[in-house]
Amino acid sequence: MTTTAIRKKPNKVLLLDRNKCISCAGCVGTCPDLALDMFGLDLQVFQDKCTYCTICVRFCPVGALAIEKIPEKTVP
Amino acid sequence: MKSAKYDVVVIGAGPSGSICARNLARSGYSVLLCEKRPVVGVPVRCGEATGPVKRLSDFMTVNEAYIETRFTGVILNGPRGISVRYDADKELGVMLDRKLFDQDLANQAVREGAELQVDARVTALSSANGHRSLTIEQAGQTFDVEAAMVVGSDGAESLSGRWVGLKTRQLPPLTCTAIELRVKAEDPNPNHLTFWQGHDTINKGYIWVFPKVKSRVVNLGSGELVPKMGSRNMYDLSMEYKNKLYPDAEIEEVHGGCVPVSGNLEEYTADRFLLSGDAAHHTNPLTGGGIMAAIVAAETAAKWIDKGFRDGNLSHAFLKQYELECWNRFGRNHRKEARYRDFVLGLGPKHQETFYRIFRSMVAGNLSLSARAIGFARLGVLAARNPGLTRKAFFKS
Repeated sequence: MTTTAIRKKPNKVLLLDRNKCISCAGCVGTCPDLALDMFGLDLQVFQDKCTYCTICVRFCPVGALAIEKIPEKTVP
Repeated sequence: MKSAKYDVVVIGAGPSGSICARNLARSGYSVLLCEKRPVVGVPVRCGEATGPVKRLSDFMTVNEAYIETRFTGVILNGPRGISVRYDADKELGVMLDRKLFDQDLANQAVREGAELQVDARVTALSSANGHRSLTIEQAGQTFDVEAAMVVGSDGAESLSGRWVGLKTRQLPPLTCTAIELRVKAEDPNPNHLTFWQGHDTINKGYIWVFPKVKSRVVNLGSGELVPKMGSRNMYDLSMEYKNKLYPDAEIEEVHGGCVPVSGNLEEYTADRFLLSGDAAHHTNPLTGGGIMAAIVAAETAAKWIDKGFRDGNLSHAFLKQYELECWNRFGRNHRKEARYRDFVLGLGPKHQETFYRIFRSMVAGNLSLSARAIGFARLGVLAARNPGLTRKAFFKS
């Protein structure tokens, strides 16, 4: 049986480069959806909360965050 | 947690939180100071320059151990190689070792009887009948704590304010992104703070070199208002300056963060809750410095909370008086400086050059009465030639 999707599955993803991240937590304060949080010195990204508004990407002083499109094929 | 009920819970053991906890504990309240990081003061996320010892000692006993440099001058490099050098005959401020500074303040709070818990994250904050209840996570365990009053001093990325419904989010363009390299080098001007600003280098922010003499390092950093579109990699910019100024020096540490430069928030209190320090955007919008304002705000907060407990009234309306006192003590000045900033940053390349020339001649005249009078008259002409910008910067409601 098929069900209709309530929410379209996003074809984007917020990527975090852990080698570049300096744990400054600046992005946490700018995110409107609380999709980022610091655990100790570790930045965590909650993909389900992210709305891909790019504020954190513009904000990151080291360029560790990026939003990228997932190629069509991988979206089920 | 030693108990499940406290008079006051302070979230964040930075300068603001520690001073607030210390003053409240001294007045005899049971205080819990929660720090989410495993060690207080690490990592440092600050340029570490602040006001002179004389002002700091109004609020605390200053320990020589964390005073790195007592600077007496400022060098401001503007566009087209215009350099403004100001030498004062007194101490303008100090460079701190923020790690030791934060730890000393937290120690002072503990000595007065506050309970400090590190690695303790506050994960939820809710309002209940006559108190606030918090959920604190520590080492995999969850604790429920009741508090009559909660102080949020959890820095620029404050979440506690957002749980209560305050608008603490950093909104571009009134927030700065900054990065700082700690370079093992000695600056040729050890008693001066050096800045670069202007259309030639970085217009919507500045690059800084703050020497820390005692530990023989230099804080080199750059900060910029977050642009509406696109972004510049501040790390690359800082590295460019590092390679230019200290080509062979080793980088000890890289740190960064966000600086709220919007001026005081419109509202940062609620029932049994208030924000202080960076969380309430208590940062100088011109320089980005926030240690002094955070300390003043913390002292004010402690005073009003004490008064609130005595009157048995910790309502939003009562705590509004804390906002008002913060406004009178530094908020009004911050708004004024934000206006100057908007004016200088809005000038075009040619007029910005004129501005720096005027500024240089004022400083060259040793800021005497006549030099200032002539300078301000010339600035008036400059303002009259940019009517739109002047209106936007100074006469916006």
